[in-house]
Amino acid sequence: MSLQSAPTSADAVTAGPGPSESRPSWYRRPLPRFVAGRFVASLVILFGITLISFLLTRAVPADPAVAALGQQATPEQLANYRDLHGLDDPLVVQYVHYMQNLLHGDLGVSQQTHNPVMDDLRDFVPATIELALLAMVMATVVGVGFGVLAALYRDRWPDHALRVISLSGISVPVFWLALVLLYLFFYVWGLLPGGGRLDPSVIPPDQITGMYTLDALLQGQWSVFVDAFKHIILPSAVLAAASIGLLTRYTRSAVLDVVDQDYVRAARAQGLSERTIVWSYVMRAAMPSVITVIGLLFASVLTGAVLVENIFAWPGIGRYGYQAATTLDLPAIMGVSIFVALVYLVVNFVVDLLYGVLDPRIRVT
Amino acid sequence: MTSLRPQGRPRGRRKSLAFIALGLTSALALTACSSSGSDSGGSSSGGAGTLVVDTSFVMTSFDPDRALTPTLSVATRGMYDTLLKTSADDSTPQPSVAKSFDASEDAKTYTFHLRDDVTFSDGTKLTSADVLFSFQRLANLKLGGSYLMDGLTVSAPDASTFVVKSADPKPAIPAMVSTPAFVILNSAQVKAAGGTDAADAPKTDKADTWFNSNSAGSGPYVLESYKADDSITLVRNDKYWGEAPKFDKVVIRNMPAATQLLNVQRGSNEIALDLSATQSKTLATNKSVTVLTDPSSAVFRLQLNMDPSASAVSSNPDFQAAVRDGINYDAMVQLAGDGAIQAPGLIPSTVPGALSDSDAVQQDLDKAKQELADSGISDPSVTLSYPSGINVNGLDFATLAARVQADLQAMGVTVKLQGLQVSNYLSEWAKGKMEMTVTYNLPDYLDPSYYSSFVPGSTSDAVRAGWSQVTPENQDLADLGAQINSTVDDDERASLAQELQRDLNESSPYVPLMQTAQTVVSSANLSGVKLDPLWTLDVAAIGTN
Amino acid sequence: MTDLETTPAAAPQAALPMRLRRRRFPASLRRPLALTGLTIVLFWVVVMIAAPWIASQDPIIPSSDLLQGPSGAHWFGTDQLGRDVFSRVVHASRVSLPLGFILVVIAVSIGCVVGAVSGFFGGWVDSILMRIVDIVFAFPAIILAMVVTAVLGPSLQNAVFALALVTWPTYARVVRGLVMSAGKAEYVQSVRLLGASSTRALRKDVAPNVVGPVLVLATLDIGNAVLLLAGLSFLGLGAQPPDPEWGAMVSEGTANFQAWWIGTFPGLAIFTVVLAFNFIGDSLRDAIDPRSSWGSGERS
Repeated sequence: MSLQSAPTSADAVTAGPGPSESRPSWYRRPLPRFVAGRFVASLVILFGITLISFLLTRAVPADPAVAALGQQATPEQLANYRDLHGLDDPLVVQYVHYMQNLLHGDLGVSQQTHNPVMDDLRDFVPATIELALLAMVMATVVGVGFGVLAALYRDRWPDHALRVISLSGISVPVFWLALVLLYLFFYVWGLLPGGGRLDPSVIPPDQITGMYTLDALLQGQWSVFVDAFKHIILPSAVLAAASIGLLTRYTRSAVLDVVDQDYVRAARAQGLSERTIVWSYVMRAAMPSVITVIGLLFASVLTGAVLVENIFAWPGIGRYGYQAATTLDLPAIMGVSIFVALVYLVVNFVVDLLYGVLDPRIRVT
Repeated sequence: MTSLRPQGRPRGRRKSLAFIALGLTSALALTACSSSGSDSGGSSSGGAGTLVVDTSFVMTSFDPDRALTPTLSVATRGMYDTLLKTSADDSTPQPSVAKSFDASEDAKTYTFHLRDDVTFSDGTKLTSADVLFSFQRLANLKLGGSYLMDGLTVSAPDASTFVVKSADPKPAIPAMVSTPAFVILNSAQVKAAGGTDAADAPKTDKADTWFNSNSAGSGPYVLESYKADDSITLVRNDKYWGEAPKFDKVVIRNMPAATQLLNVQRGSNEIALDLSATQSKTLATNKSVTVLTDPSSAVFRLQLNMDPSASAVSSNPDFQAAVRDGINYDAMVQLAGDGAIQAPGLIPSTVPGALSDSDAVQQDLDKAKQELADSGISDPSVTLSYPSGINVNGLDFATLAARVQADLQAMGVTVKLQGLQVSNYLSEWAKGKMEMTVTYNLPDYLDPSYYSSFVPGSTSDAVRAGWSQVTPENQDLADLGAQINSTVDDDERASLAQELQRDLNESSPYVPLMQTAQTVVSSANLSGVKLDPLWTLDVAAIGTN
Repeated sequence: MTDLETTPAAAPQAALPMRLRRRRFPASLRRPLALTGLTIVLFWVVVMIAAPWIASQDPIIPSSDLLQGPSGAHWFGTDQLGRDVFSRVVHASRVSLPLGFILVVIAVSIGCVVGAVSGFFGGWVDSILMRIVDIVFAFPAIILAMVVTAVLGPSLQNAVFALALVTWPTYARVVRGLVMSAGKAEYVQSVRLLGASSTRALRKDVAPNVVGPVLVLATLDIGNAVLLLAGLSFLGLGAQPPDPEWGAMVSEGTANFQAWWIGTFPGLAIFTVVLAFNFIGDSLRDAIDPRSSWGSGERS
């Protein structure tokens, strides 16, 4: 159970590389049909998301007019506000209206920030992507490394140790890990800052990607990069912890799946060093399932950011979503939901595609 | 008005209820322009010239006519001016943009004489037309602060004269025009941005979002940038008409309280606004910071419902008296932490007319039990509602509600707790049917007449206590409220307010609990850091030693 | 929270012969990792039952000993209201463990019904149900959970409800897969051809093949459930003060983190519980899914 698991990929992951009964039928179709099928399915899901989030936000017992106007509002003001915002229209009308605006890229105006939700997303999304990307890079490097190591030392002590480490990674509450790391690195040792993206005395780099570390590098502002990097390292490390555990497990199992294959044995028989074998044969063969896991994790890390961003005062979409949910800022809730769902679907779509490309057996068989 | 707005925050932050107070604070933006940070070069213009204020953001609109939160009031004080100005030390309004004012004998007409050297940050001269525009826009937007303009008509006979007329005597007008709601906007700029002061402003005013990146005021600072949920950056207004502020730049950052605690210990030129008294106690011996604990203006109260159709139990006068006498006030105050005091009445010590400690109700269990018996209700049971997930000055409503529950259950009253998310709480509140609730209030202006909204027949707070009807029994209280509103003499008004509170402590749906403390921790190198009851902080008054 | 998904292995295991799997359970639980996990879980169950005797001090009533560090009188120190952190950690086990269990039970129940109906009947019923599952999967679950608790009012019951709402689809998928493959088995087909009713087939022939794997999955998910609940409580959407709950206590720790003991100990409690269930679950998974088995020489 998890807040984020993946529709298609849960099956795909377990199935590992190689054909399996459990894989959905569309895997076996030719690529174009397979792509088209996935695309249509994604659209249907996206539509479902808009509908559910719309109904959910309309089910809120709180009166948005009171919420906007405060404790002192008179009935006349409330009626006025409802009229202005179409709150008295039938649900169907409101939904159609919302969808029309949505198709024009208009998600409404956040009650919290008083900015168009689209603008808010544009501000917050790069911060979260920056965090998630770095977390994924860390998780991939460490997780794949651990996984290969564990496979190579199968059943010996490094393997057992890595198993415990990997399980610890997925068991540790991220909010607690964040607290412990902050306590040590910030409070006790004073090595890293306690939150935010940049020190207030540092001027952010010009916006290119919206990711401070990357933008600073692109513009050669070394000192800005260093400051931004100091701010991002702790939150992304916390975010990476659980992913490391999972990646270790899947890499290990994927590598083990291929080491006993004939061609690897043949390579070994030819006297190729174990290292060469691992990197050239094993890694390539293990790639599909690793990519699948990384894709999955990327989608989950994005939303996993809710806790981490709140603790590290990181102005990203997780924190924005949290604010929106707890203040019942309906347009923002819908905007965040739709955006995250979209990312999730796109990532899964790409992963499925990569999977099919990397391992043609899947779609052709 | 007060008080509660839908604002959730993670626990552990303070002050999460935003106060819509009348005020609205906000920002003006000046042309500012400041198209954010395109001065890439990285010249960290920061350094010694940057003051950093850490707080947990509670945000609504940056448009001063639309809303106010404590976070915004700090920025708004920096960006805008008011006709008169109160300070942290003195709640009596002093000249600001208005160099003087005349009040008519009957307290119905106030004439303000404006300085002629005030310019907005874009260089435009501030005239009475700008004041007129700002006040009318406040009234016509029909939002949280608009009620302040009820019964007032404004006019600008000439460029340097501004007149406020009231249908009834309104001695609170000078206090009111000193509050965040009444900041003066640059009318030309706001109109250009789509703003309007016309009667159809709710539909036609489009300036709301504009204020997120611009300020339109004449204050010592202008808005450079606002990053939602992250930071507000103010830079010095070179055209400021008054004494130039000490810091070139002020950055207000959104930080959790724990991080504030550490930042302020590590840095210089830093201020932390959201530490609880308990947290800041750990800093008592730390020489690198200055800790200031002052009473805030927030008064917590228990509110029952006078309307028998809402509850036969909580509307029973004997039951109300039993609750009043059954609460362990000392334990309540302890919950609120260092610096908090029992509230002897509804008016906090920061406002004229507060009662003294000797007037405070004391717990008397025997009396309470007798009153409960007198009420004739067997096995009384009530639902106690509270806004959940938020806390004010470090005090959590759920903890408070649990404490009330424990006290009442000790007397044999069954109390069911009902935590409501803030938006839901407000919706219930607006219906005026809650049987019993813990809530709090921050004054919108520092005058005892503000508290007349609690008397029977008033349109706001009293309605929510089921006290909308004036009846022969409560006629005296209603009259007293009206009398406070129209008494011109300040001292007399204050003493009438004390009388009202004593009466309310005898019999009313309100049970004042405590007044919380607000702590401001600042780097030791800063001077002039003071807690302002209306604005929280006046950043322009802060300098270095 | 979120990425606690640790159980992709849960997916269709049906291809494995059932008998083989059953035989392996006890063996797998005898391994050191599983034994460690079982011991920790047992420890917490004892703590939970004996909480009032273990924790001598009141977990709720404030005292004037604010923010005291760990000492003989207060093993885990005191918090910002002067309450004994040790007593609160101990009492909180009575909240987290049972609710984690209940959450799993609810999610499994919903998931089983939906999955069984979907897998057994197939066709358009299956299509519709699986699209719903897809949508719930794609919905940003933590946002959904936050909104649901915000709407219903933050409380532990509502948090459990909200989490059940977003976690059942995993089980629906697994159960559907199991039911489908079991349903295709020849003997089931023949029983149906002989005129047995659908319900009978489902109950007598399919259910036994589903129960085992689902039980395993559910067991190891209790840890995750505890983690999720703690996460919501950390955000202020679960347990309400002054009730002790581990996640909420860590949150109080973040507000007072110069007093490291306030947040550290409840966090450790969550960590050990979750880790214990993951130890057990991982060992069980080895038994079910030898291909990715970790440790042991079962591969070959």
